[in-house]
Amino acid sequence: MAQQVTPEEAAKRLVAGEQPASIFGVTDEQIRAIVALGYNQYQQGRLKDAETAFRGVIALDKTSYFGYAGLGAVALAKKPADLETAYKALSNAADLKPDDPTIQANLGEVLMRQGKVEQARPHLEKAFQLDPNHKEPGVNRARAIVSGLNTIVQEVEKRLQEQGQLRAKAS
Amino acid sequence: MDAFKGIGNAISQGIDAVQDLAKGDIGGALSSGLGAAVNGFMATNPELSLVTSLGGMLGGLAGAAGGAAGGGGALPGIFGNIANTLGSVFQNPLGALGGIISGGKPPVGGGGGGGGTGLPDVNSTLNNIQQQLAGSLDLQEKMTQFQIQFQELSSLFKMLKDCGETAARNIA
Repeated sequence: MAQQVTPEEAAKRLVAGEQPASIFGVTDEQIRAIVALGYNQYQQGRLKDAETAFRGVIALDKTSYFGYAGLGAVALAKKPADLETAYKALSNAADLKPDDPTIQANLGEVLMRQGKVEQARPHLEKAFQLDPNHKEPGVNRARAIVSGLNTIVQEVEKRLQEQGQLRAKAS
Repeated sequence: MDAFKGIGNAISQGIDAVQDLAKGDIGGALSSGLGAAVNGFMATNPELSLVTSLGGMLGGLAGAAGGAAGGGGALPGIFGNIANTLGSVFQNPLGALGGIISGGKPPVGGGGGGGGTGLPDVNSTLNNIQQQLAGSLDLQEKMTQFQIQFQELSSLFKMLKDCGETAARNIA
């Protein structure tokens, strides 16, 4: 239940660095419930509401990785993806929870989409290592992406080589 | 930066194609969506050396991935093991939020007297914060951060209240 605090007290505690969740009496369980709600909205494609939920979680408690992980996923799922927001949010989430394979997979995807393949590699490798039994859907998505991109790039390479051979023959 | 952007756009197009086809049969999908991604990639006029280097890296990553997995889903995941991480609230989030959404007393709200809830009024709280921060070198930056934080809290509690009202209407 939300606590009643005066503006003076709230201001004093906020300036001292206390998280709003603690000041206003929003419990950890309630924060997880907001995350669950945001997750449901995300799955239903209601990205705006999901974003409101996850941004709100960050505003309530900057030390919780849930809000950053959620905001990063929403930014990545937008069409077109908001890669800058996704990168910032997922970097924060990965700092707070480095052993979450899905967050590592998403961070790797953002960097791949930015063309920073070298930087993406350690995050994707870490995601695969953290999910050795292929149980996490978020990591399996990354596996599918890597495999699919590999197929695309092999085909591109083949075509470029054929073009080069044709040019060589023509000259 | 432009080099990153060009290759990034081509890769993004490839990822979108894979995402749409994420049903597991990646190898056999070249004839449809992935074929368009290949053409899109070719349209960026990539250098063979760059593509070879990218292919080497992706080949290594594909090896580390342990093979493509089906059922990856069209949407990125949010975090691992959701049901376990969120515990019982995962099944009934609105129930866990009861006090916030049904009590009509969001801990932050609009201006005025806090909506008669006795909870902190945003404008008054921000004025108090400003007074306490007076003289700070980065006063404006900090105030902007607090204002954004309050806006996001206000949006959150409004959304939660709407969810609660919708749920109540559906039950009735």
